Amino acid sequence: MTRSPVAGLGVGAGWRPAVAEELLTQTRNGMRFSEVVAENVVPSRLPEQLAAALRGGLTVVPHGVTLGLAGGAPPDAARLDHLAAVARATGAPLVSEHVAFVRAGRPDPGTDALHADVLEAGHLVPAARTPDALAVLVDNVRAAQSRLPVPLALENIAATLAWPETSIDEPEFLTALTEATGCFFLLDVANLHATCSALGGDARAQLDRMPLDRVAYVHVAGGFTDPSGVYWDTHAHDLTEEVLALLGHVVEVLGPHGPPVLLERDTDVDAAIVRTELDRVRRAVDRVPA
Amino acid sequence: MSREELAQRQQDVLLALLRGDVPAGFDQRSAALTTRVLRTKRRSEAFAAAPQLRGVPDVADRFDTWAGAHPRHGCAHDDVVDFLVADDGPLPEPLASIRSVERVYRRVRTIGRDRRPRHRPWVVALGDRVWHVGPRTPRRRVDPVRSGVPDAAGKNS
Repeated sequence: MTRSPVAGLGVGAGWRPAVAEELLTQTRNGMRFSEVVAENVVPSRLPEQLAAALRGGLTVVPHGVTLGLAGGAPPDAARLDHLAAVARATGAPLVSEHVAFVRAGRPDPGTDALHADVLEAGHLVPAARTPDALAVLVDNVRAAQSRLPVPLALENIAATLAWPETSIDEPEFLTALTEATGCFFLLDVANLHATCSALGGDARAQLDRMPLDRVAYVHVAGGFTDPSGVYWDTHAHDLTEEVLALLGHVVEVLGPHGPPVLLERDTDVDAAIVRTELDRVRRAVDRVPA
Repeated sequence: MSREELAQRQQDVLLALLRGDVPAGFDQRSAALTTRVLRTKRRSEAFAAAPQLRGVPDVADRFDTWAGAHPRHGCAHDDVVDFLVADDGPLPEPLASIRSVERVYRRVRTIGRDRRPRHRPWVVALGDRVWHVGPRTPRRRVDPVRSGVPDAAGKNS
């Protein structure tokens, strides 16, 4: 097992402007781990509370959302450089992104970005899992790694789309990816629960086959289950018992002092909600015997 | 499959999903769920960029219908303005004035009405220039953002 660069940092919450003051207070009270969406910050002008928390010892992982590493095009150098700059500005030991594509098509050489034949998804979209797609993804990840100053962790997304050509299941695909590139795995248990609710499969059984020896840290987030049984990973609702139970299983497997756990709450959020939800995550982690 | 073929395949599938079509060979339920995800995400970002849209009756359905036929080309602000220009439904101020002015700038109309405080009331396209004419309307107690479209809120990951 490869030790996570952020192992032992406990439970934290993602940095969001709406709760910046609360997260600074949490840091002063002992929170040691957070994550910031890289596209939302300017490296030379970090938000005041974030800079204060960094000075207070908080470890912050820059989390990219627009690289689209599973796309057909190589990762954009400017986006990679921005992610690298945020990593340097925050002193991060690690950066993270997703196994997804976010735009499709390829600009002709010399075409400016606004007029390129590129379609923006506006969201993380799962790619087909085939040997050819894996080869392109591995190439893209290696290109990213060569331009980043710290290791890269890649996250499983919440998928609702099943490609007919897919021939490799997600645990096998992610294991092959980590083995081929040496990247870390950002395990999102809410995403795994969401994917299984939409596309079928046993989340716990799939989880046990994931590349758990490469987990850098773990995401949890809230959501809701609609009447058809599909779980929506909204980051705007409270954590569900199903996701907390899955988190408990992860901590049992990885150990309470292993990869840290990060709460993602993006909208419908205030200080009281973050405090309550962090307490729920901490209780789920603490329930597991050391 | 080469890198180029993969890019083309992803583009074809994404285009169909954004339109609300089921790409050939895909399960209908899976495609419909994904279209819902993509449309909800796009609409939520647009409404975060222009919160005034949230109170407009039927606007979510109008936006989704428009979005299905018009892939997003820029940021969420651009998306809002593109939608406003194309939408013919009722809008409150300042959105109605933004739509009217932008239609003139894009030469969809040659004349537009701007009812925002401190703006000249008429906007006219003449040749390659656009003129704002007439006396400025009086300043109201609340001074809206000049563009009427405030900054975008954050995004999720």
